[in-house]
Amino acid sequence: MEDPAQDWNDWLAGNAGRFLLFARQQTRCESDAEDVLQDSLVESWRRAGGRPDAALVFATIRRRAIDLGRSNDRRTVREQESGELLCAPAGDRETAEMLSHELRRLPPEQRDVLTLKFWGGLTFAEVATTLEIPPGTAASRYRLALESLRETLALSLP
Amino acid sequence: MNPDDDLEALLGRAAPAPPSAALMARLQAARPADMKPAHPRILRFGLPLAAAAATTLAWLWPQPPAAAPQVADTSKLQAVGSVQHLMEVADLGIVVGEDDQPVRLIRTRWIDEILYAPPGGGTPVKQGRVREEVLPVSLELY
Repeated sequence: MEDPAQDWNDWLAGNAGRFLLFARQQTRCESDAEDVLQDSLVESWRRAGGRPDAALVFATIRRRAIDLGRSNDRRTVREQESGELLCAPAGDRETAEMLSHELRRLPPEQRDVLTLKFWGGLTFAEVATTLEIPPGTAASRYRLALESLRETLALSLP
Repeated sequence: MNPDDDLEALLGRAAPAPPSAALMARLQAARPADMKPAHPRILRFGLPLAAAAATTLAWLWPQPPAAAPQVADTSKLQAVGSVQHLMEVADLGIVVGEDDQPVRLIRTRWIDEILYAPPGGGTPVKQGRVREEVLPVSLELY
């Protein structure tokens, strides 16, 4: 039988990054993001009795961030305070910084969908459930996010 | 071909920034306690029913037995039977258990009648004892 502590650590190693990215987008500052992340991971693990589905974790992060009472007005301040959202595993640091910058410029509702769908690995149905929006809305926000990025990243595209 | 392939390929060149080493250490230390039932299933479901039934029984009992006179030295006697009478059930409130789950504590008070057979034979001797138990009962969370 697998060691529970090792299972927890392995799960963190494989998933904490994407959950932290979403937590950063939902909270006011880095310390709030870390607090929400920790509480959400622990709560989700307990609820599932082990490794939880990613959709459950994202939904828990969102709910806990809302519970903290973060307002949209404070998001602007928060985003300026947060560290880099993205990194470049292949060493393309310039691209990662550019994408982090453009990600911050997106409207929050588009950015949430893009993050959950692209880096979170959720389906549109899961994104819709997590954000409590219709699946069609999730898909259209994803489309709008890509269109917006296409305009600003035109020079970087082949 | 997906018209967004080029854009998604560009997005794919970046990944969520990993947590710092300090944050990872903090998360690893926050590992939830091993998942296990807070209490045996019989406690979770059976105990409240048993407590309710026993309370009803106590109310309906025609003559609750009083504690019997003390037997001089029961260590030399042979216990041949016992009867438990539930006298009181009290809800002590809800506390948080070791696994951070809420637990309701119920105090039960019993009179145990123990029957002893005298060494030389004859009518069994009764001894009454008051006994208290505090029982944890798991709560279902929704």
